[in-house]
Amino acid sequence: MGLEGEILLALENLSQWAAPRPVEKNLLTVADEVFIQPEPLGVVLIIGAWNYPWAVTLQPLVGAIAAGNAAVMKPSEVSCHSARAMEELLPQYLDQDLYPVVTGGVPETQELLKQRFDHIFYTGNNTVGRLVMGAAALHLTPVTLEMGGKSPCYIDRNSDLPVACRRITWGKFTNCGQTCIAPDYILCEPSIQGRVVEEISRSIREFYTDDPKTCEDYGRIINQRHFKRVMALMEGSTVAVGGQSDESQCYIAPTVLTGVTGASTVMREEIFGPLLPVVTVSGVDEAVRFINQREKPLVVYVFSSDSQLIRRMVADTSSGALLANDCLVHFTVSALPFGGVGHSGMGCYHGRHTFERLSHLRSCLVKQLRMEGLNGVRYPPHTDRKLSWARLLLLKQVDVGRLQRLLAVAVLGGLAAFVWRRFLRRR
Amino acid sequence: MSSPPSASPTRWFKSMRRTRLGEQCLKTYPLECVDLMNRAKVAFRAGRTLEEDFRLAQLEAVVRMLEEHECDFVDALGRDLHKPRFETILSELILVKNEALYAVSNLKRWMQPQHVERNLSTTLDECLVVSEPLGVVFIIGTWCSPVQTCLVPLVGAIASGNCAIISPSECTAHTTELLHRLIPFYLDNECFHVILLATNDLHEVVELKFDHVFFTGNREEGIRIAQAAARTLAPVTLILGGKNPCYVDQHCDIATTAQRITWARFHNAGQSLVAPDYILCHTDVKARLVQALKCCLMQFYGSDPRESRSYGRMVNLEFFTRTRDILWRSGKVAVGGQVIEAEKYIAPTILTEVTEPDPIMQKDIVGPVLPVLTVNDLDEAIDFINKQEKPLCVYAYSSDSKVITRIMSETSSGSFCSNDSILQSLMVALPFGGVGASGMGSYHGRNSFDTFSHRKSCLIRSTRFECVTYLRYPPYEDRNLSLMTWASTLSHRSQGWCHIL
Repeated sequence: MGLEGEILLALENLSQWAAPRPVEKNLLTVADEVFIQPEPLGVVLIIGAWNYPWAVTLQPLVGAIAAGNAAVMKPSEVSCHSARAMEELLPQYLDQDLYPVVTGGVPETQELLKQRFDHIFYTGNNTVGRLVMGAAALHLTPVTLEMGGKSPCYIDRNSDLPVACRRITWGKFTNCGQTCIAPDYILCEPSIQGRVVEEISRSIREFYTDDPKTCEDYGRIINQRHFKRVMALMEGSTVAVGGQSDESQCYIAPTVLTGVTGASTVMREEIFGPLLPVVTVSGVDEAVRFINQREKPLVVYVFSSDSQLIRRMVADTSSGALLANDCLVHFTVSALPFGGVGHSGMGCYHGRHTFERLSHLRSCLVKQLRMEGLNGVRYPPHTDRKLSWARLLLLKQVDVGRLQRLLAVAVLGGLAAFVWRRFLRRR
Repeated sequence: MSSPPSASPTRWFKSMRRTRLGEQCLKTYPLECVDLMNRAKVAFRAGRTLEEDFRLAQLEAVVRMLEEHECDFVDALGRDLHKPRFETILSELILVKNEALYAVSNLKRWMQPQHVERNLSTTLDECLVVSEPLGVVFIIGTWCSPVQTCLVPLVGAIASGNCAIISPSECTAHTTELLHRLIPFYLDNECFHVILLATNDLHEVVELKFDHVFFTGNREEGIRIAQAAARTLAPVTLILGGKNPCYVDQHCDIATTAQRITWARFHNAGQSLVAPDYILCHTDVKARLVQALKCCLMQFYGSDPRESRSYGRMVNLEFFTRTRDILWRSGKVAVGGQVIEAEKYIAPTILTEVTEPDPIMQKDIVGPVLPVLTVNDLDEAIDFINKQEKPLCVYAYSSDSKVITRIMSETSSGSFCSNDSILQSLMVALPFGGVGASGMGSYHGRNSFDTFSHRKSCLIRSTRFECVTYLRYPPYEDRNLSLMTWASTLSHRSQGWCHIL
């Protein structure tokens, strides 16, 4: 749905996005054309991720095509079936020279990164993100990095706990927790911790039945390596809900962890799995401090009915995005720029923002070879009188629209005075 | 709310003791940079730069600094580049002042959250984009416009609520010393610091993990800075010099064209990132153009530019030698060519019979030398331009609008200007930046504010209407999926009237 929406949006708005954009003029350029012209960059490299292999590879492609670029797609080898399907299907629908698909693993990616692209769009983890940016720097290639982080989720004690917990459960355990914008951990006061755990447990049962292993709506961990990584994160914390696993199926039950502090193993890295730690804090002040001590995440979630508290979270924390009273859905609003800041990424996309990101906005000034007399003020030999004129003409900002309106009012006023004198006053 | 430091006698004496005008200020060592950066981080975390009043006060202080010390800036740039007073005031001081005043008058609006279009499922929610400062930014200036390349980005950094560390170029010692002395006097001493680094040490400081790095300079240094920034995942803006082509068509007013090109190429003794680097001239008009350029040079600088107060000098011996050597090994000198090493003087020079393999066409010319190459038609000119790296600017002179449109649409560059030069880089409303080898990112006006901001998406929902959101929860049912798909298509088709509602 999201991808189709992006394509329809681009189809509807392409001519508007690609049109020249006029800007404010100054006094010397008032008779000239001054505008910004979007241009394609050239060839874009899109490196996809395995958690949403189609969405994160094809959404940037929509923007790349809309902006007039060619694109090389490198889907993640970890989601090998999707990569193979993409390799088979895309050439049947898109121009094979302009939009090739390259499959393969680390050696193929490294080889691609040695080539010179006009933009590299990467979705994945921080470590590889750094390598991609380093390789791009050699060719002065701009990058968009969509990475991740530990997205905190603060639950205010006065919020509607059943609804909040249900939404958090949905946000966390969809795709078995393997979502870059999933709520990574919960922050709440000790007085509501019990109820939070209880409500989450109830929601898990509602969604995935008493045995999520047999529920067909519950996913699995992508591979053995990640399975082992996620299992190791549980060390040192108390399992309040779930905790069961089955290595043969890469199955980890929806799990809630308590007894978690800032120093726990599970708090050291982005979980990217179905473990939901609950960290207790004394109130919103401590929650803000806790969040700000860590790297800037992709999203900050806050559940509260107090709009002052929400505004405080907006102002006092920094993250790619902030979502109040729900999870994940900001991804679906194409008018909202989607991206990270600091360690969670750079650049943004979705909707028009992908178009802008993968275009070059070129400033254009189209003048004539007339009115050279005015230009005389800037030429040597320099005099003080020329300097005063130049100050006025070259650099003062003029609201041409306002001038035009004033002129229109003056003309109308003059016309009205004329009519009054000529026809009405006679009587 | 914090206001800039007051003019107390103690502070004044301290700043006088630190440096005297004309004396080189001491290099800042890496450890000292770490300390300054930590101070800036602490000041940022304390929230000093977030208030609108603080930002306005700092911006107004920048304007005051330029107004009250206009003579000092003119003097410093005169010593560094022999820059005429006219050029200093116009292309350095007024440019910065304009940016600061533009930011002051628009800051409130820029700081407002922007409400965005919602979809059907978020119709009852608040969707907005909030501009947040990034933190501590690093601004590295260049020597050809030492004041402007440090202070215009600084205006953007202040307006967007960041703290900043500024490193002016070591080549313009007097200007750097002046900035080092004046800024603590006008701006908040914890949030904004000026350091002096050798070019080779820049990438070391970049690795101290800034929240944004803003660099103006040449391509080689730009690559080193970008690689250093990649190690800490710091976003960068690079404004890099390149070879800016200037096409002169056979249908144009040669006299006016020559005047505009001469002004653009030879101001600041050719030391500019945005000046036309070389001319691609139609064979029919080459002789007339060279003659017209010669007349303009005579008109602007007299028969001996060395005597003219309107003509500059090379910044140092290294750049002087480099430009002189390239000049002597390329083409034929049609006008000028005289050099005086003791004064770092190179006469305004026009070279003809230059071909692509010549040394002057292999490097950026940051000096008063203008090669004129001939082409037989527009196609040849466009091919030539597209064979080179994408430059910062493409210029075209023609009275035929079709020619202008063709050059504009068939080439790519940071910016484009027809029938004039440089002006597009002075306008506050136009983004100024490069593409490809000429850089990434842009600034000036609102673009500076956006460069140093993070635009955070905020979606504020309520916990009501759970009866609608239940459709997305497991257990997944095809019926629910159909309903959501249908609602989604409704949303797309009705985007028009939903908006009106």
